[in-house]
Amino acid sequence: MTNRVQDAFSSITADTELKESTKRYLNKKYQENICPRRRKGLRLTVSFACAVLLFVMGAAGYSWVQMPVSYVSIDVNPSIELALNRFDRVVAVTAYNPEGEEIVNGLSLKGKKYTEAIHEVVECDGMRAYLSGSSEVVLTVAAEESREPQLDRGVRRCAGHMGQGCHNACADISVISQAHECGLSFGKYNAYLKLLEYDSSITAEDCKDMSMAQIRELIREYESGSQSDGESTAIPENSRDGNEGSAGKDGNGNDSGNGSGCGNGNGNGNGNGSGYGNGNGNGNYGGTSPCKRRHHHGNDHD
Amino acid sequence: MQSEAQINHAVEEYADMVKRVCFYHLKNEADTEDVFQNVFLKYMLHDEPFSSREHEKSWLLRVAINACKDYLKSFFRRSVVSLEVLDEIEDEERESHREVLEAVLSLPVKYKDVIYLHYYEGYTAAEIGKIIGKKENTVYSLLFRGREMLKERLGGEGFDE
Repeated sequence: MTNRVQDAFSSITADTELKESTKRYLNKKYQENICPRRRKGLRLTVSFACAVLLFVMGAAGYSWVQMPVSYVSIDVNPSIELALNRFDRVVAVTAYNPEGEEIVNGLSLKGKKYTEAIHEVVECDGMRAYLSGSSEVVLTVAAEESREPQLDRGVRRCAGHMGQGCHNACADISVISQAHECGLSFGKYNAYLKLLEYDSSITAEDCKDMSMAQIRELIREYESGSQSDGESTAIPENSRDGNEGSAGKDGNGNDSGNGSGCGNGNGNGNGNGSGYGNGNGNGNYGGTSPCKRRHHHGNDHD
Repeated sequence: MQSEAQINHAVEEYADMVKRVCFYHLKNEADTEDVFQNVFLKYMLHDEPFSSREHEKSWLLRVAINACKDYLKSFFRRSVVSLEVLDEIEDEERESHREVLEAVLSLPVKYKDVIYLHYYEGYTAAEIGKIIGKKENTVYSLLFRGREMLKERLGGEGFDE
């Protein structure tokens, strides 16, 4: 019987056709198996390239959205700068003095529409302390020409809502980098530039510690002074040049209307010793008050 | 992976053996070809070298048996047993062997394996145990029962161990 089973199985053989087709099949598979390393590598490279491309596109898109294209500077005494993206949303908030920092720390402004952010800054508790009767809020817009009118309109509306003591201005976008080099918000720097037109000896350092109300007051004084009395504007220059160190004492002499200045060399410790004079005859108030405030702030910083 | 020369050699050498395993497991030529090619594909992709020809042969047997079983397990292949394979055997041979083959094919799978491995390939119970993954004693009882069944079907003529 063993033989019968053996014989029976012996009759079953693989025909040539099956062998050949199997060899062909295996040969094909063999080539595929040798190449796939290359093909796998290619696939890996392609998918990697896709991933990189996707990442780069994402990053580019993100930076496109996040790139600041325009700026709004809010200056009272705290100086805060909002950087806005193409959609007028806040992408960065920078404070340019400790007071500003205090306010910024309490707020989350990123991603908000600029008008909303301005409202939030001006109306927050921290800011309220600076918004007394004589203070002034200045909103300065810096943007490309095409965007500026629209932004300016929005800011103007904000300023209008806030009522008195709120002003708005436009600055050249190229001013921004200079302002940041001096450590000023460009709003304040813009005001400083304006002041510089009248008083070439004033430095950015001086403005740093002055509030916007003080700077604007000075500007106003120069403006009205230059309109009303051309000569008297020259006087403070003399007085300042003559007695830098004692200019603070001379503050008393404002009563006389001779345009003596007030010095601030002692107050903030940086010893620049420049003084501000007020040339018009009855400008005693304007002349003394910046000094006093100035000293006050100087102590704060120290 | 085996080299191309090794593969061709293996196909020549073991084609009949693999074909027989496929034959007594599967039901038709198309299935046989599928599994047949699959077994040699596995051989081709096998990375470790074989220690001897005997090792290679038993490896192929094991792979072939498992491949057939796996193939039958796949649900769309579960159909009634047909003896279509028998029709493909050459006419004159068919006459003489049909009876035996029919008897073997009608056995349950586990008996077919041991009958084939023992009576045709000449393996001992211990060796069969290794190939199909069963204990030696299990193989003995499978062999015994398988033989009994064959005797019954073939009229009990002189079945030796």
